[in-house]
Amino acid sequence: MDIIEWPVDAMRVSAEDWHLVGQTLVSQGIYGPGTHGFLENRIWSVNVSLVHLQSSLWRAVRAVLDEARGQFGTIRVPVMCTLGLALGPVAFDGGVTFNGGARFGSHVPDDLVTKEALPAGASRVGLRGSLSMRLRLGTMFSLPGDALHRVARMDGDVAIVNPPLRRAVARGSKVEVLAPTALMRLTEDDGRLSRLASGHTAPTTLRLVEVLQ
Amino acid sequence: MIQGRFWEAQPVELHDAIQAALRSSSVKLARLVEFDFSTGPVRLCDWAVPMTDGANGYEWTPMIAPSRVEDIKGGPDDWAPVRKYSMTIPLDVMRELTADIGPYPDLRDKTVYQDREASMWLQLMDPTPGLHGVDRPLGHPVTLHRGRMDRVQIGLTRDGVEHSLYVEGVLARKGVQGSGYLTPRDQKRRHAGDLFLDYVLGLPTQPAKWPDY
Repeated sequence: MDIIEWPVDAMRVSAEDWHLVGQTLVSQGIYGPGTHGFLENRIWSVNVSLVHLQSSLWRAVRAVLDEARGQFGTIRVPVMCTLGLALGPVAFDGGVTFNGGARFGSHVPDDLVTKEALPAGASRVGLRGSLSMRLRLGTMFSLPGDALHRVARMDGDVAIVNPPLRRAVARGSKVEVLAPTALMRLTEDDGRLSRLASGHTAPTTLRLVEVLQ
Repeated sequence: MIQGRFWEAQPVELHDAIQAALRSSSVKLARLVEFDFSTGPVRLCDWAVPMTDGANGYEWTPMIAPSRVEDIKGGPDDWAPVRKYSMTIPLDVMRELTADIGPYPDLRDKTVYQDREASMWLQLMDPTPGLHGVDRPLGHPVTLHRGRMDRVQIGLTRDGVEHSLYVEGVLARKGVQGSGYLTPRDQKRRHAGDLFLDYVLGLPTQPAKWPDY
């Protein structure tokens, strides 16, 4: 499976809404309030707003859509770091760097890894590494294979996450919190993307859904 | 108090836990479908993560797409009823899912599936996850339907692929003729030597042979 890279800079978008979409079975009760049956079949979905995309980055996104061939292609989509910290060499918004292209330096933390091997379906992820103290409600990270997860709460150095792990993870696997990624695909074949005279982009949003491996 | 065969089939030590789970207005559950193909059984669930059942400990492959059981119907005027299992897989998740099933048999060969058993089950899940937060089954799965596979139909639409399997349950009438009406031959099969329907006008296959008075 060829994976198309979505440029990180082109994902500095004005709005995004990473959310899990699932299904609940609801049956009306005869003598009671009814039953809500939950099926663990949630997958990631996101609407990416492109309305303020710069012209150079607009062309990059256009190229990604060309290569994706509609719903066919798998795209590795960067997820904005949710730690709220500038960790590692960074460029300012808009891609501002030093003249030579070097980025701005800052503290580079050690890798965050899984503390133990975890089976598929696990929703408690034990962590090891200094960054584990910075994880909190809502932090997003990815595990090997671009499996995206969001922290529901922390229990010491154990993150309770959604969705559960799609597949087993080995002990010491890297937990990517600074630059998480997810494998997604477009939900429409018609990859229209236009640059308007106003400087804005249309359509203003692209919808992507998770690729299950 | 829940009674009946469902209850008798559950392990005694789990009665309280099952009762408590069913009394709650929210239950976690999974739908399981098993096809006993001649090439080996295929077990699917409508979860996004693999799960094991509480009876045999089989692992069920995640399929996400909710399977659907239609009402018992079929044949002209619904006189030859069968039940149809349908699984509509959206295009955006289809490719990975079908790859996940692995050794899926070649359904062009009817001996692979025809007259072999297919069944659909409902598995209640424990509200309290187990080790590493992995969801675990609570009690034994409940049969929703079981029958014998008869024919497969695959429909392609703009939005996905619908894979339909006609499964004959106990109410299906094996070997009925096209019109579906009860015939003198059916009657003789059930009650050997019964000539009653031979003398009923309007039955399609057997012209009435009136006695020569």
